[in-house]
Amino acid sequence: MNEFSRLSWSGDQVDALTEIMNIGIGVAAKNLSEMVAEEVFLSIPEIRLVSRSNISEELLSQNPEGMSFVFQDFCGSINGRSALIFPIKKSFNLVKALLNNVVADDEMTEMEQEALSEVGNVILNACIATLADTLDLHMEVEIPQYVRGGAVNVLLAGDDVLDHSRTNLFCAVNFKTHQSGIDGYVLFLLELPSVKKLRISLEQFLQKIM
Amino acid sequence: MESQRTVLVVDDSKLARIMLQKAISHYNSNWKVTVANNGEDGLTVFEENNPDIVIVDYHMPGITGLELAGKLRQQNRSIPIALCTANIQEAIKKQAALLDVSFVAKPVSETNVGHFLEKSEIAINGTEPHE
Repeated sequence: MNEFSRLSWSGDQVDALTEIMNIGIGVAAKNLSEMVAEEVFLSIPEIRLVSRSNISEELLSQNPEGMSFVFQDFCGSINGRSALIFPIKKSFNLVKALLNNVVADDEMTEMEQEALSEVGNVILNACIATLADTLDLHMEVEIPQYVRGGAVNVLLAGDDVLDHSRTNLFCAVNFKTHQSGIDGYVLFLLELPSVKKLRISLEQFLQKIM
Repeated sequence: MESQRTVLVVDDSKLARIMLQKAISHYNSNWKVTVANNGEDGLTVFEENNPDIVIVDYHMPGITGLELAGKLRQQNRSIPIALCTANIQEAIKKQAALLDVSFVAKPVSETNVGHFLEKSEIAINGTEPHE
């Protein structure tokens, strides 16, 4: 909360953003659950202001064997990157759950990129659409990109909107299923100018409803 | 004569509690709203206030809204209870159905809260609610 206070964020603004992300990820979980025909369990969204270096270190320590991820950049009222991340050993569990009884086992590897990109598209867009609709933001979403077994630097590299040293908004939600062993998380990153714009939008939204 | 009701709202988000309170007041400004910000407190407020209707968030730290609904149902078999969530998965729907728990979809709107409250009044009164 100290970092939020330093950037003039109030407790109500953090609460509102957490709730909006909670709704977005709830819609996403419903969609994913329909796709894999299984209950999807979610963690409470964790929203922090951290440096990009901290994000790298954290993701690396949680995924020492590497990660697979789908990411989608968004731009407009606010700019940033959304990503669906899996520990490398768990990403194929999702592919199997999605394509079971649809394609033969030996075709699944070929389908991995398409399948995970589509899941990323569905999940990340549900979150982005909820944020945009609730706060009346204009957000354009780029095509999902899939990286198998990439280091965390790949997720953060090639992204000129995320500053390396300055504070970025970080929102993470873990999701998992019990039967098929799907385990991953949704991550949102916003660079500092967008963090400020988002705070203003949240304040306008709160003034309207309170 | 119009019935005065008490609605218990349990949600860890202040924003969600405010939105629900506004929607309930829009439906009937005479109704009383009591709030709790987690499942454990929700149980205490329920026992202290004896509400007529309960709306609980599904996704909260500590016990989930569904677990809370299960505990409330043990104490009162007929009270109208709704889970308020965007996460309306089939598995959650089935568990809610076993507890006779309805859904109010998030994002909260006056319309979807109003539908649940109207249905609740019919269940409590056995007749259509008064205008």
